Amino acid sequence: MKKNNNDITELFRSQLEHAELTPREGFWENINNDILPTLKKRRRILLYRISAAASVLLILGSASAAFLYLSSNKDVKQTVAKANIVSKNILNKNINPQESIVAKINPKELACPLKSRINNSSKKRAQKHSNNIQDLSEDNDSTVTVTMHLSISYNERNNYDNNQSNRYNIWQTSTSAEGSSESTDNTVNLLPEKKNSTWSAKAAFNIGLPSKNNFDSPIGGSLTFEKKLSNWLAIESGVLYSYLHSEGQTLHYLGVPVKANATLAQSSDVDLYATAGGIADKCISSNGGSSSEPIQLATFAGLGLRYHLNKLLSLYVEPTMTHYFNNGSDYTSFRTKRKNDLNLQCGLCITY
Amino acid sequence: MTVLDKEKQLIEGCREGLDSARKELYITYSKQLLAICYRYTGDIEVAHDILHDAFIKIFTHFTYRGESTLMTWLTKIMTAQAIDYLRKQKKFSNFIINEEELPDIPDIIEAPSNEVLSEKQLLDFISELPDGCRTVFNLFVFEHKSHKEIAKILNIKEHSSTSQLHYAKCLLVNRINEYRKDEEKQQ
Repeated sequence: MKKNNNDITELFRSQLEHAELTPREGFWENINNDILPTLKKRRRILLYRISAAASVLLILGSASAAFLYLSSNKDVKQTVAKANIVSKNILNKNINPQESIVAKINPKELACPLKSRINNSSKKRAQKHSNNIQDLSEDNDSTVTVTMHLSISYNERNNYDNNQSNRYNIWQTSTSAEGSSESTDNTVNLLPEKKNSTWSAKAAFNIGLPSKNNFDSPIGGSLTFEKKLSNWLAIESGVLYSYLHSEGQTLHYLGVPVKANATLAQSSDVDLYATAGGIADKCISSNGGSSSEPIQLATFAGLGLRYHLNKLLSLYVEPTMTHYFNNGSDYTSFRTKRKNDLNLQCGLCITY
Repeated sequence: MTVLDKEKQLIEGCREGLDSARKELYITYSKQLLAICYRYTGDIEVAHDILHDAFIKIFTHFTYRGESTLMTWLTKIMTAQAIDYLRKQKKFSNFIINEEELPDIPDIIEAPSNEVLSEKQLLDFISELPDGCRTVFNLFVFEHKSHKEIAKILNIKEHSSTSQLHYAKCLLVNRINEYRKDEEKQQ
């Protein structure tokens, strides 16, 4: 039998190794005519890709720049706030602003009006501010910054008339109502009002429920942006990549999710929200499957829990129930086997 | 000018996008490449389509860097294009055979002294094979791939590749025997 095996293999190998078939007439002309349009198309695709890559880099660069700018701006605001508190103490004591105030700032005194201001806010934050102010008096560099700011503030005051500026009026209030909690509030009002952050960027990892069949749990990642429409409602969209693997089949999907998030409960550290929306998924690559599958539509609803690490960063987890609509594909995948699937999304959210 | 020099010139010409070099390459290799496409697809029309697409790919993205002979490189492209086509057409779905009931490969009837099986005839025998085992047969016999490599390429299990090859050999021997019997009857 072994001999037959080798016989048949050898017969075909030896006779067909250099086998030839003549292509039909005019075949070269067909190929030649299609080369130029294909080259043009290829160049256009290359251009699109370069543009897309440049856009992504630009967006990432802008986002990073915005993030850095906002972060540094926040530091400036904090410094200015400290400076105003310092200034109030100086005014109370009728100190000449041009004098060096470094030696005269008593951290304990500085902390006092601030405590009255933050009576209604969390004690934790108050402690933080208090510590910051103490740091301020101990740190020579920070003190220099404060001194510069005071000089500017005083000039403004001297140049304004009593009825010329709201800022000045507020300033006046702060100087007249010494030591009261109200006066400190007003002093802080001198700062530009802090805008509420309405945009968030989210990066998340998704995983589906494991299947009993040969299909692995679908996994994926998403990059989305959330826009806060009101205090309780936000919309979110972006891109979602999904990877479906089973024996002999690997599918890669790229989709666009659109969803609405409604806040159910809120605390200083944790938010609970409901989420619902839809996804349009397109199979971008497949191994053992078909890449020319129609777009897969799905809808989902679930709950989300967001934990604020600080004002900018938060972690969130979203268990959702997803229903995959029949997209007419006759190919068997995880999604055709399990129309309803429980998905878990965990991610990081940056608010800016 | 030696054959090597000629090939070198052809490669340079294709790299520069010269029409004359492209045509020369087509004339030199298209017949062999069409036979390869036909071996994989079992359909002469589809084989032409694959040859067309592969040549377009070759001429618009000539990435040959001399890592093997030009013919080996061209064959690899044709093979990949053909397998990709079969995969997209879900042609590997008919892999399912009862592996426990594989028949023994029958003995080949001795060829009549005057009989020589032509290339076309052998190609036709291969084209009659089911898509799955035809692909395994091609990869094993002509590309010298191991069952492990075939399993990886086709996303199947290694023992499936073994049984597919066995099945292909059985079918081919039966077909050749049938052909020879018919020939004898005619004589």
